[in-house]
Amino acid sequence: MAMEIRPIPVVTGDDARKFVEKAERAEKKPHTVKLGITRAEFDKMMSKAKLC
Amino acid sequence: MGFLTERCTLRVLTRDILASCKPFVCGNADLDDYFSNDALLYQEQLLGKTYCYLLDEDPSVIVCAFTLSNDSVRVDHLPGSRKRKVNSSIPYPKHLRRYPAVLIGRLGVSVDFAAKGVGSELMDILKMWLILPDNKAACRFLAVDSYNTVQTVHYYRKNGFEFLFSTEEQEAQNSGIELPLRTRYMYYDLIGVANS
Repeated sequence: MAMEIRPIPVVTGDDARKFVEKAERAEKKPHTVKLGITRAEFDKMMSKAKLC
Repeated sequence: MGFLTERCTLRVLTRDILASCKPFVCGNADLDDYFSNDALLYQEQLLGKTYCYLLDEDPSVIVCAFTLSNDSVRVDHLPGSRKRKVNSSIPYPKHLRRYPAVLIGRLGVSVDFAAKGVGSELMDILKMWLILPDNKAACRFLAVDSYNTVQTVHYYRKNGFEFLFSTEEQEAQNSGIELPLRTRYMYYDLIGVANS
């Protein structure tokens, strides 16, 4: 039996403060990320996918 | 175009696929055991949905596979100014913030396709998938309980993930498990992808 998939534990203390600060900073000062896949490529891949 | 987008087809993992495909070997005993024996059990109980990419030129070959489930990053924190105003009688759960997240329960690339950029391409696909407008539920963070090995942690760091807990001691304490940790929680903020 493989290791179980565990839910994410609650973050507390200094780690919690830093996490919230980082999340709020990202909301206030939006940055962009360039992915290695375009929307057109993604859509083409999904049209070929069989997800049912 | 990448290898997965160009030469593979995304499928939901099923018994038929497992039965018709060659053994999926990632070079990690736990991963191989999980995808062979446990993934469909999680799926049947709606605890994790597993997807795989099959090679178009030979659909009996699983190139990579991954399991996703809904989760959240729960943070027990109130900013100092707000904390002072909050009456201490407020129940503990109300101090919590919850950020919607998708948890990568497992992610593996076949040893035959390792070190060819497939893992990073897959991560970019996941990031895009989760922020598109037709995604049914909002998702701010992509999280993973990564194997605590140099190679696996390096892979996630290279793809922009950070540790959720600053130290293994803190993570062990919050998780209620003993050191040494076999896995580490890591996360990726999708807001930058959504802005792009």
